[in-house]
Amino acid sequence: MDWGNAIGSFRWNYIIGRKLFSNTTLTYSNYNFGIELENSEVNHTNKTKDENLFNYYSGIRDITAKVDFDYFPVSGHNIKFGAGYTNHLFSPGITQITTNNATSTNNAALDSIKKTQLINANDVSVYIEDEILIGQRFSTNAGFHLSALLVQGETYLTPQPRLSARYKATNNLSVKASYSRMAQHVHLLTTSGISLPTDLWLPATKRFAPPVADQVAIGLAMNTIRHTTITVEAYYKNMQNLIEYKDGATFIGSSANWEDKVEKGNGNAYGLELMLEKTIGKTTGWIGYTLSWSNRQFEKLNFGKPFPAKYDNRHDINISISHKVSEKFDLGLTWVYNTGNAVTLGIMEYNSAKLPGINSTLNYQTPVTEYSSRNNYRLPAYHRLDLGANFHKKKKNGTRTWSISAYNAYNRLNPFLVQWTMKEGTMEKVDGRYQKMPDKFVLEKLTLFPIIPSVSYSFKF
Amino acid sequence: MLATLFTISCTREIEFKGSITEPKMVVNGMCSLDSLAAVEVSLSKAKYGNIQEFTRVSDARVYLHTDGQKTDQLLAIDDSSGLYIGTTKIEQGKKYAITVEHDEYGKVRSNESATVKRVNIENSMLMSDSAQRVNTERLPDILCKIKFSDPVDEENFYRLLVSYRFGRTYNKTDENGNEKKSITLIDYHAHFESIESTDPVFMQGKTNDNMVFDESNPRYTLFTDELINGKQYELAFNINKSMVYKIADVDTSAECFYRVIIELQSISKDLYYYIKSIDGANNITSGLFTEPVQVYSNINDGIGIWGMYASSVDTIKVGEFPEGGIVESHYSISY
Repeated sequence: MDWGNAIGSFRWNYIIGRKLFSNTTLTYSNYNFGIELENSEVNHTNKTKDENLFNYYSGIRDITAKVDFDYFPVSGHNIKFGAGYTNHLFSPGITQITTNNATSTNNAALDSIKKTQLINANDVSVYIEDEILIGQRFSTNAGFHLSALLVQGETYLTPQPRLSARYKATNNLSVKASYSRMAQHVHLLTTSGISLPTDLWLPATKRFAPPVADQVAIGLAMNTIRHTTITVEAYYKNMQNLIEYKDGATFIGSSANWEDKVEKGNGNAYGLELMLEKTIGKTTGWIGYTLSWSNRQFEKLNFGKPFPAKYDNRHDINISISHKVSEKFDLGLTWVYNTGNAVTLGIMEYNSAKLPGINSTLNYQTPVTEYSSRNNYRLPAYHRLDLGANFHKKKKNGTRTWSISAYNAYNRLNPFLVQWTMKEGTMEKVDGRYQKMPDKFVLEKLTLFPIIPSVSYSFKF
Repeated sequence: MLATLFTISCTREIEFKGSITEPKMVVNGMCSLDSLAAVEVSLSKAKYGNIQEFTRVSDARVYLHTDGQKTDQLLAIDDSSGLYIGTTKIEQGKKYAITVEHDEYGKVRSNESATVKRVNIENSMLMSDSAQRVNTERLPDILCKIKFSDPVDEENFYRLLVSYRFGRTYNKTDENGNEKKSITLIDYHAHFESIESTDPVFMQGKTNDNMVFDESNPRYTLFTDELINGKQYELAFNINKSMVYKIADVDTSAECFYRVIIELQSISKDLYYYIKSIDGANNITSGLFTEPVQVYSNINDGIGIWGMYASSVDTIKVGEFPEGGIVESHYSISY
């Protein structure tokens, strides 16, 4: 399995006049995600070897050009406006199956490539917003974004109004409220059956309009002692045009186009965010906590009933602290914690009904797995501590830094995937005699990333 | 030390923290119009833990409710099968529900099943000559057509089944090789792989599923009246890859006769969803990369299905199908 992201950017800041500044950016990025499964069988009698290689790849190549302006026409107004253009090239999935049957007399190879059609999309956006100060205590930001996605002959035009207001009650306390509509031109598609990080970013298409979200939020910010700020924000977000895999769909090994494997639906998310931040002093950093819910509702999934999103992580904690011991030495600590992802896991089995009818060969029972709901099971919580120490030394032409770090410092075995496995019964002594215990199903997790120490060297000039 | 740390990042057993581990009552009842109400009661078992057989429940109290009133108690037919049969015949136009009570496993109740109406096959015919007498074990694909009228202003759900049988007359020889007597075989199942069609009614609601469940070879099909509501319709379909397995002693050069039996079931909406989801669950390729399929249930506080159906059966005979004869028991089919 491999992931990769190559990014290059060029940025040019230009002061047009005393009141107008521009910022032009050109960006190139290439994201890819791939899974490779290989299986080979050697038959020593026939001297043959069969190889089956499955390769899944999904990628997005973006080329972006945008220009942003800051304009200060009069005191109390900060107008930002700009425009952007992005050309996306999506390659939503490629499956390659290779079979080599090599004998001493005959070499045969079959390569079969099922390649999903590349999707080219053009994304154009313009925006304008004004941050207005009204008196000493009140400020507001009113803006309007307009985005257009041109894909497969379809044009999606999404107006996105945004409005926020802030009231400074005292020098150390302010309250704020906001509303925004946001559109994104890619869909996030995740599998529910497992915990593999198989998130796919797929384009909006003629069949699947861009996801749109409306969000309202209220919050307050408070300055406390020792340059520390506390912010609290509650939010509610309503989302439309989301996609999820259909029941029984697989994101590999099927000839179906990805659009035939997904359903369209809606979702909502709400929660409370708390942040404690210190930006000045020898010790800086933040502690963030989010209590949130994220739900989905699809007409054709989960029998139309709401179900939790995969990333319905109830508790999310982020702690990041840096301490500057001296000019030559600093330490860093990051700890993350979140409630486990929601996945769909079979919890029971039962006998199906015998289907009636004249064809008696269909009149049989099969064991059925009961899931109770989509995303019905919580994986164990994810948490991890990363530690780092940096040693700086000024050199003639710059500063060199040696860094020592440990990823997952206490070696938490976070699950990479979870599955049922049949475990053969052991021999145990019962009433003085050894008996084989029944076979049983157990839940197993696969962990990939234990503690990973690293040493790096950098030179800044 | 590093090697040790990397080694421990592998597969490990973890505690199952699911909320449901106790068995639930599973109630399966598919009642045919004009037949007695019947259900099967069993228990689900937790996925986690020791592998065990399904338990059938024969000591429950099972009641039938007709149009909201308790009207009948279904009785267990024996001590072990979990099968219960009542004395009430299912009638068209009435709504039925079932409740099952058990001292240990509690009480479950089905949703009230929608009434079903029999939709008759008005006509059925073969559309190709290729199905005429063919003296071989592999039979040609058969193209059939049925005509039926969908009831007006109702949401209807259908299941189409086919049974394909053959008969053959041949001379059987005894152990010494002497010709013994002429024997007529009747009603042997002929195996066929699938019934298929490009008819939009047949395909409706199915295209995407078939693409998802790549491996499915349906031997029956489900469809709705979404495209034909209230209309008379002719539905054509193909019986594919038929074959009769070789029977010892049978003279395969003898003439064969075929009988295609077609059943059009008008099924309740819940039953439609149940069978559709069961099909999905049975046809998916299991694996880490496949989305699980949830099987529909309309049993509250339990699991299973309570549904109604009404059948219409028609037969197409190919050749002069023998009316009587000997059915030899040694003939078997494996699927």
